[in-house]
Amino acid sequence: MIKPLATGLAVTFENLFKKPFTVQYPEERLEMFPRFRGLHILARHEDGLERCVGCELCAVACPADAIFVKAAENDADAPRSHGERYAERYEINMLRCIFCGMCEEACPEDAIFLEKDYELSDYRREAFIYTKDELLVGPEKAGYLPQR
Amino acid sequence: MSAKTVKVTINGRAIAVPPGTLLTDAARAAEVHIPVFCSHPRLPPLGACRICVVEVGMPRRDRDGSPVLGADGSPEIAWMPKPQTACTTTVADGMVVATESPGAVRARKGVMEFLLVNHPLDCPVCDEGGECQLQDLAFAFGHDFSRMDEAKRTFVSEDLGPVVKKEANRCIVCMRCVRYCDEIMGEDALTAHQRGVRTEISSFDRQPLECEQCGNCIEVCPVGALTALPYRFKARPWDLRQHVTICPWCSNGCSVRLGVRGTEILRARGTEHRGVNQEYLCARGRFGYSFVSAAERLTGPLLRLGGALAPAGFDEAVAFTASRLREIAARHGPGSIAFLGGEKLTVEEQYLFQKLARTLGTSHVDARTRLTAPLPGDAILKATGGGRPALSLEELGSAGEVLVLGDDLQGEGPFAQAVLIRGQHQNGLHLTVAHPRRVKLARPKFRGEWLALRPGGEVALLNALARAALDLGEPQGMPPGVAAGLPALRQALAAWTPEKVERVTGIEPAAVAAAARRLRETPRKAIVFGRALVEHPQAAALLQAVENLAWLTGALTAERSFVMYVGPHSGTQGALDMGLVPDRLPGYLDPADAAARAPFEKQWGVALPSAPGMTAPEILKAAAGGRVRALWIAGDNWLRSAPDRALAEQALAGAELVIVSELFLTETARAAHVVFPAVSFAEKEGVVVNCERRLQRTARALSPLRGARTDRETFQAVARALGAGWSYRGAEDVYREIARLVPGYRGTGWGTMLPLGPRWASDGAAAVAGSLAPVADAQAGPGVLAGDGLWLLSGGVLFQQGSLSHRVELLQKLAKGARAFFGAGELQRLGLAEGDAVVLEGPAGSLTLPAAVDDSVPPGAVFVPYAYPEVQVNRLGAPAGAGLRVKARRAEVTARVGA
Amino acid sequence: MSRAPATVALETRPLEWPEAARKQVEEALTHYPNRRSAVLPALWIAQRTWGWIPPEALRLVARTVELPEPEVFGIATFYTMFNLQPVGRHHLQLCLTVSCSLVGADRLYEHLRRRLGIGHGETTPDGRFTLRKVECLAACGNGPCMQVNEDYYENLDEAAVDRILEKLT
Repeated sequence: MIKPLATGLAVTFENLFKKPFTVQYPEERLEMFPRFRGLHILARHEDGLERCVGCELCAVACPADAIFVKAAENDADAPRSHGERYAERYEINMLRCIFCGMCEEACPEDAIFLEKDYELSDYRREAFIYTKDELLVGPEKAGYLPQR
Repeated sequence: MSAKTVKVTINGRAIAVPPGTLLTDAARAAEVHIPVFCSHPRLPPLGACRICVVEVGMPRRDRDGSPVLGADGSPEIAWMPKPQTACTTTVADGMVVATESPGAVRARKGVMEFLLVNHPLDCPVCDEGGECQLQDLAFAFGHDFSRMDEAKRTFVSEDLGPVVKKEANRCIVCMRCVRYCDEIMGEDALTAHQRGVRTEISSFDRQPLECEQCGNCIEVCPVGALTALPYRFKARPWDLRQHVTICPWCSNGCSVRLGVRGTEILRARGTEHRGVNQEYLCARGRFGYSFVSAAERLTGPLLRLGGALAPAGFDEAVAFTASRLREIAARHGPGSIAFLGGEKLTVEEQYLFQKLARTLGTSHVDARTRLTAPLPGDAILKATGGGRPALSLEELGSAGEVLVLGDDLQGEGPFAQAVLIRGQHQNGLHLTVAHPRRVKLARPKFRGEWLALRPGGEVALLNALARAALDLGEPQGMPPGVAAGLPALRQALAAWTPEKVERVTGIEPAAVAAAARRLRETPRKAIVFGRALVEHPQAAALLQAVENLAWLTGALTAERSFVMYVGPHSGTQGALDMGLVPDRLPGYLDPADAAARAPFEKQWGVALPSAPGMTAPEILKAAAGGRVRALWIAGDNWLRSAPDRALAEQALAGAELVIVSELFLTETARAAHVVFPAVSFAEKEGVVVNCERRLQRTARALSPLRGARTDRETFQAVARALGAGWSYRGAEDVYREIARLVPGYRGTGWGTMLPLGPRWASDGAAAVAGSLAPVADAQAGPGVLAGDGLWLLSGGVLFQQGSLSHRVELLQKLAKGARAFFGAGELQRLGLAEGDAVVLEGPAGSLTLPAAVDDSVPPGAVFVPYAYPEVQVNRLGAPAGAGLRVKARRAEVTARVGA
Repeated sequence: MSRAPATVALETRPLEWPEAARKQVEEALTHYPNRRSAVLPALWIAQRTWGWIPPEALRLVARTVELPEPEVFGIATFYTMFNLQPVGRHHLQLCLTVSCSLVGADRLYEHLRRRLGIGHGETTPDGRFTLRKVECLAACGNGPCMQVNEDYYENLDEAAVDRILEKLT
């Protein structure tokens, strides 16, 4: 009877002297693994144009039906993307999203990626519908493609 | 199917098919899939794309003809050395076909590789993506890589007019669009430019297409080479909920597949394997849906309590309507209430509309608001065979000889026109078109004769044709009751000598005789007429004359009818069937007959008036004269549809109560005391009857616009407020009552109407007995040509149809502005140039329009399409006698009008 | 390769056949059982009449032979010898197919290009010459060869080409 007790307490004492696993979030943050799937980004070409052409393959691939895309025709003088078509509206409902990454896999233009950001919280449900403005990377990240 | 069949073995499955069957069709029967691009069920085989290649063989035979047996005892097959195209190869007895043999698969992969050599990989931006046959077949049969390293040949994309977007890079040159445009539309607007690898489909000199803008080239394109500009990048096929319903634009009753995303209709397409029309749609059907979501739609009832119309609650409007109707009926008698319109409603709504009227005790109910003279409610049915099994559109296309009387089918029944053109190209159909204008079907490129009828000569021409037909010998196949009228008719027709007819109609006697001979002697024949006769001041006489001609030529027989009425609206036939006429109960029953009335009285719980009411033109006069004090107008812009606008304005101004059920605040609705907001075709269920008397279900593609009610709900609410115990829970409830009470509709139900509804025919004897009767021409003799001025020709046009098309931006654009069309000579004689403003003066008023040249308009006439928003043809006055004459002169102001 | 519109619309008024051409067309029509078969002769007559075939002439041909206008356009573009764009007075068509190419046609093309300052399909500013590379002219035995309007010149070299150009005004 003593022996099992001693074994159990040994584990306890052993851990008393180990470095804790706990991270002091939000002061401290973990480095995410390379293939972690967090918040989506919409990438840009090197020339700053959007990679997304609004083909809706992500929307049809999405098992949670979380993506809404409405395409429109580019203004030839001020195009938003390469080619004739761009996504006029691009919305992801993060409450529905299951972060499976199927959209990324379906994308023929390498336009959508699931990135490392996992801090998705808000006070209103509507705020979880991420619009294109929130998803599209800034012009300073033109040409950025995550390494996989 | 003929008894003779041939045996074919496809992939080891033996089937028997009729000789002459194409291998692709035989394979379908054997449930073997052979891919196709260029082959199309409505087009003759071409063999352009080669994707359907299969291996074909025949049993090897000895010199004495006996099959050679192989080592295992089965017949040896002599395979053709090269693969064959299944879409052009017809079956032969004993033929063996392999679609999955290594040779066939290799050949197909090779063809697919060739097709993809120059095809861009722009599926993500291509509108066809997701429903592209090339995409599907590339997945199914192609390689997963390309050996094509070289640059692909490229073309510039083009907008061919406002509806067709062409991306020639994607084209696989199957020629479907070119062939469809040529053989079915008769437009010849597209052609292949250049040759070889540089072949490109385009228009003459790459100009915008000046065609019917039907978009059928887009529909038949198996790839994304031709896409619809109005739908460009709007959605993906998987976004759309598809609803198959019936097109509201004419009486042909085409099935249309609405693609809905959210609460908006994004496109309309044909249905491929359903409906009378299959893939066909006209410009109106394909691009004319946007009125459904127009911002000006009425979203609540309007009431005129003080001076102006103001929004009101539905219950309030219903209570007001009921109390006012009750009040007027009590003070002036129910005969002071009239119900008008309803040609655009479903059968259920039409039935309730007249039930409401007759429950109130009035028989003044008429859907035919455009009539210029009284017409018996069963006149049209009688002229089309009195309920005998009717001519179908399919039969129309396979007829040998078709007489088109007085109507431009391009505007009135575009699908009927396409059926005739296809018949011309594929079945050797011959046309005789009697029309004052050289309308599309009368153009020389179609095999047929144009009887250039002088306006006002309609009765004379029909009598002359009847006389010429009678001269060819005794008519056959008439029931005894009809034949009894022959002697009197023969005597009356004797007066129509060829000289007299030529003087009145301007048509050579030889042409009339030849037309009568063709109609009489061709085994499969048909007569098509439309509103031009029905809305003629001599309509009753003309319809009798059509019937005479039909009996004498065999277009009507004791068993069948080969006469078709192509009415103006989707519900025209239904309105007649449902008793929206003053002298007939639903099912053409005579209200004077107590036995016919009894079932309705029992069901409705009221005593029905036995005397006929007034027809629409009579109601117009009575209302203008103050004898009709309350009007209910359903789905009809009466100020435009009534033959005389001044009278209609007077009637609306003088009436104590005007109720209008409408989608929009039309001119008529503005003059109303109560306006009920109705719902469009896409928002309600019901049954509509097309010109071949086919009952078809419409489906609800959208929820009704908030605030709008179906006419069924409105009618029921008012009826309940009036104390009637109506308790229909839905349109199907109403239909069950119809199917119980209305002869011809008995035994039908919503469940039996999919995918293609039945065509109703009276069981046993005809619903209305036919007759042969002499027809006198009120205007016959030299008088017909007397008088000065120009004949006013009005009529429907393709891109403008009425208050709905005014709310469709694309149709407005295609229709251009309203114009008055003159022949070049006539315009010169008037001293006018194209674009000048011209004043047309009729007996009651005048119109100012820009003049335009149209060589199809005969001398001495002016053509003014009636359906343009800025044209109110009925301001000129009601046609009387042989028609309407107007004076044309240059407008005083030099500014262009209306353009 | 992007392509400009196939034709330049110079004439927009409906054209009519000049008297001489009308006679030729009528004569051509008598050779065939139906009017549509005369479409190629009619196109040739149009090209001879106007030097090239403007869209209005195509419409005229369509009217004359009773074919749909787009079909006539398709036929005219199918054959490379119909000029659907204006050409110079002298249309130089140099054969560059294998036989001629082997005996120096490419050299001749370079020579022409330098001398006239124009490339394939272009016209000199004075409207005198249009240069075009064409496929086999069926004079392989005497290559290199060149067709100028409707005349053949064979066994060419640079000097011969220069002589020809000087003769053509």
